[in-house]
Amino acid sequence: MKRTSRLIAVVSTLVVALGVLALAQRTGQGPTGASRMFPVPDQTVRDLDARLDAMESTHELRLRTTQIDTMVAGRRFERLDQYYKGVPVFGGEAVRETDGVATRSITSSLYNGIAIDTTPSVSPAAAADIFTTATGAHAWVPVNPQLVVLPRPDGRFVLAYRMSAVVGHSMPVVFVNAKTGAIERHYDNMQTQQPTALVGNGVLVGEGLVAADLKKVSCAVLGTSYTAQDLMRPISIKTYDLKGSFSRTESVVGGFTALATTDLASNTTSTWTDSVVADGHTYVGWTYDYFYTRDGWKGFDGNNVRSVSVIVHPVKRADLNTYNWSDVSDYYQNAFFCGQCGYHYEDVIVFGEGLPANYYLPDTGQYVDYFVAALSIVAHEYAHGVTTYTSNLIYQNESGALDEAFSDMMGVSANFYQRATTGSGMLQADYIVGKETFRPKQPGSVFGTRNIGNPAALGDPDHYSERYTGTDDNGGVHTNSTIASYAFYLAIEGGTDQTSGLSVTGVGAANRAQVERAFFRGFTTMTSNATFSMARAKTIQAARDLYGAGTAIETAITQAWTAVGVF
Amino acid sequence: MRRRVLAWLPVALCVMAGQALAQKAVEQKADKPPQSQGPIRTAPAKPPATKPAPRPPRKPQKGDWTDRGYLFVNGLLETGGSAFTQPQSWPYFAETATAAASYPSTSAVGFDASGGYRVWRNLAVGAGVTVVSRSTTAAYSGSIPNPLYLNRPNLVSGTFASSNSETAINLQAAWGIPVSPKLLVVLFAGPSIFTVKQTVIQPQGLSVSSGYPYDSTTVTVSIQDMSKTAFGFGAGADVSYYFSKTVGVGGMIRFARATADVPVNGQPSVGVPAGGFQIGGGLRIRFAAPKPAKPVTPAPKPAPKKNDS
Repeated sequence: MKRTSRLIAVVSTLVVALGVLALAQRTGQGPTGASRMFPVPDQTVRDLDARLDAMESTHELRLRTTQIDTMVAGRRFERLDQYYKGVPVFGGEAVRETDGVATRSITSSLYNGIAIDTTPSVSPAAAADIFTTATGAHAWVPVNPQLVVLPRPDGRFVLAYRMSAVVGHSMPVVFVNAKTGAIERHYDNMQTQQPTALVGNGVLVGEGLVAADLKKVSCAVLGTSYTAQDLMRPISIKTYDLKGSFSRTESVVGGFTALATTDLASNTTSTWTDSVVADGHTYVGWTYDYFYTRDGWKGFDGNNVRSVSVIVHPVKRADLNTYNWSDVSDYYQNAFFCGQCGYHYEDVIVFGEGLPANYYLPDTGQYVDYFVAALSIVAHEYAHGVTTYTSNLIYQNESGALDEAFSDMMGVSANFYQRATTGSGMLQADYIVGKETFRPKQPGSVFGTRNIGNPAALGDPDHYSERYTGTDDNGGVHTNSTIASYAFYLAIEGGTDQTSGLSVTGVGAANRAQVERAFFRGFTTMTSNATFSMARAKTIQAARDLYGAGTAIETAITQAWTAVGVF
Repeated sequence: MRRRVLAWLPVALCVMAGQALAQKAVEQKADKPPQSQGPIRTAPAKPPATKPAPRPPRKPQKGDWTDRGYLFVNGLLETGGSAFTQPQSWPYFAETATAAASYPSTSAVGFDASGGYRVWRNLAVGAGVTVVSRSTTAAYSGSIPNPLYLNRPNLVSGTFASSNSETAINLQAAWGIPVSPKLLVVLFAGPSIFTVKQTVIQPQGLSVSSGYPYDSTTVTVSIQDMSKTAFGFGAGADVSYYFSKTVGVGGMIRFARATADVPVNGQPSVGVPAGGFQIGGGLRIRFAAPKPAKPVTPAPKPAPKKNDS
């Protein structure tokens, strides 16, 4: 099936390292996404930089953000959005890395040959009506139509309204042709764990969902009770207990109702009694700590600006059969990050309640427990927030799969960082995502929702040639993610890809931090319509920048991408 | 072995004192006249007995200490003091922080003065004062819980300046042994009252400052001088050499010990050992006993005058 995000226009993605190598990838080459690497002299960087300068001078490129490089001193990344006659070009971006004096590299996905009329024929209100009809959203839901130039799969460009809103437990993004009113493209931007189908101001000790798993719950005193408000870390982390009220959850996530102080999870005894709060609140903090310590990354946006709102108990297990399953499934057997969807545009992470004890997933035979039970899941959702404020990967097709892959990689990495032991047991670190939440119940079932160390164990691809090319799950974002995340695994542990038969010499578990840092740097400095090829180039370049050319880490990452069929 | 000897020292002194008292009692008994048993016989009464002549003072014998008193002044070096530790613990972010300060055993210098008055034969009683002080570098180590994680403490360690001073009032029973007219050995023992002034860490004196991500802890040590009085014991020996009848030099060795439980609010008191082996030397002054008055020779009676008329 054709990828809806396929770029037909002249789109060049360049990752150019000063004086070393550059990679040019043409994403308009068809579904295979073939790419090539070739050495480029310094002149290429200067030429491309000059082109960006020229586009900036004519306002075809506009600086959106500047991101400090937390790993190489003095470096920073400038994100520039492409505009055409004052209208943003969807997916048109450039990321320029500078050292304060010179441009060191450029990663760009810029579109050439745009020639369209930018005067809409369809009004924003009419476009909103089309959105409402198509998604089932309430008519009064603000969808904020934004005029964009939308690259089409056939290589042409259309003027379109981009609209998005939370509808039920999804966040549809719809592009309505501003000339004809036709729906040009749509996908769900709710970044989920899996495709829908599970001691004063100070700290209390609370037991997690796994028995006897004691942990410290950073909390604040409010009146006579403790509230799940973390004042020990540089950002605000608040955990809200919606007490199983689906209607309130829906209203809060939809941005219609503000989270109140009375929604904060609270506790009156010296030991936190709700294990769901203890796990969820604590694991978000642990994830913050992981990114901070490993990558120097502060919060979602890197600057501790964005607060984190965590929602637990969005529904009650006992109410499972009260609702239309399709309306509430994500609140039971999923977890998701919802960027700026709160009443005050706060970022919200919602963790599903899991299933009643006598239920299991028919396709996997797994029981589904609370989603906060697994640190890898909590860190996965948190990582979506990091992606949102960095590469902002379009949650569809390859870029969406990379979004998921990054979250899985960071999820297991946080687990390795925080857990005292490695292994297959509960609370032990391994490469299974969601081990404590997805547990075998029926014969033959296994732990976890994805296994990035052995994707085939849960039916996911380990090679680019095995990727899913349909439209379900936004183009298989939760399936194809394992192609990239398996490369991450191979770069650390080494091994042989079962499909390609190619072997990789990993850097070893003792050096996992090198791979984690290289992937973090690479994945957070991509453009929003990144491809696997761009991810390969960016992570290899990051390894060079961080550890030098020709090092074992660079070799391992290069071998790993090659083994999974990404060039 | 040394302790055993020291332990027997006061006993020996007491025995010596007891023997001396017993001997005096026997002598007093021998001096008493026989008591009358009543008029049994009718023999003519003897003329009333005259008052017996006073018993001549006992002539000093070889080995007797004849000085009336003494004054010893010493510079002092105290060694052999015991090291001690000050443990602390306090609740810290749902766990318990623990720390211990170690105060090393170091020598101290000071001053000692004592004086005594011979009360009987070789036995004297006296009192003295000993003042010593020392400055040390104490060490601390501790385990400070991470505010955010169970069982991931930050280990801290460091040093701080500490001082200690002792003032001891020593009550002494002394037994002098004149080896020669110029050489005197004095054995002494008795209780001591120590006033110990010790620098200790205040309650939760390890002031912990730790910012996110709390993977290290900065410690500021808050200290305080605390005083405490304790009772102890001391015993030793002094050897003096006199250049003249009153002035000499000498050396002294003493072992004194007490333990002062210095209080720390909210924390266990700190058992600060006081005393130790003390070696000193300095000036010796003895006060000779007053010489007995010479008997007065009666003036010869004038010769009777002759009457020639």
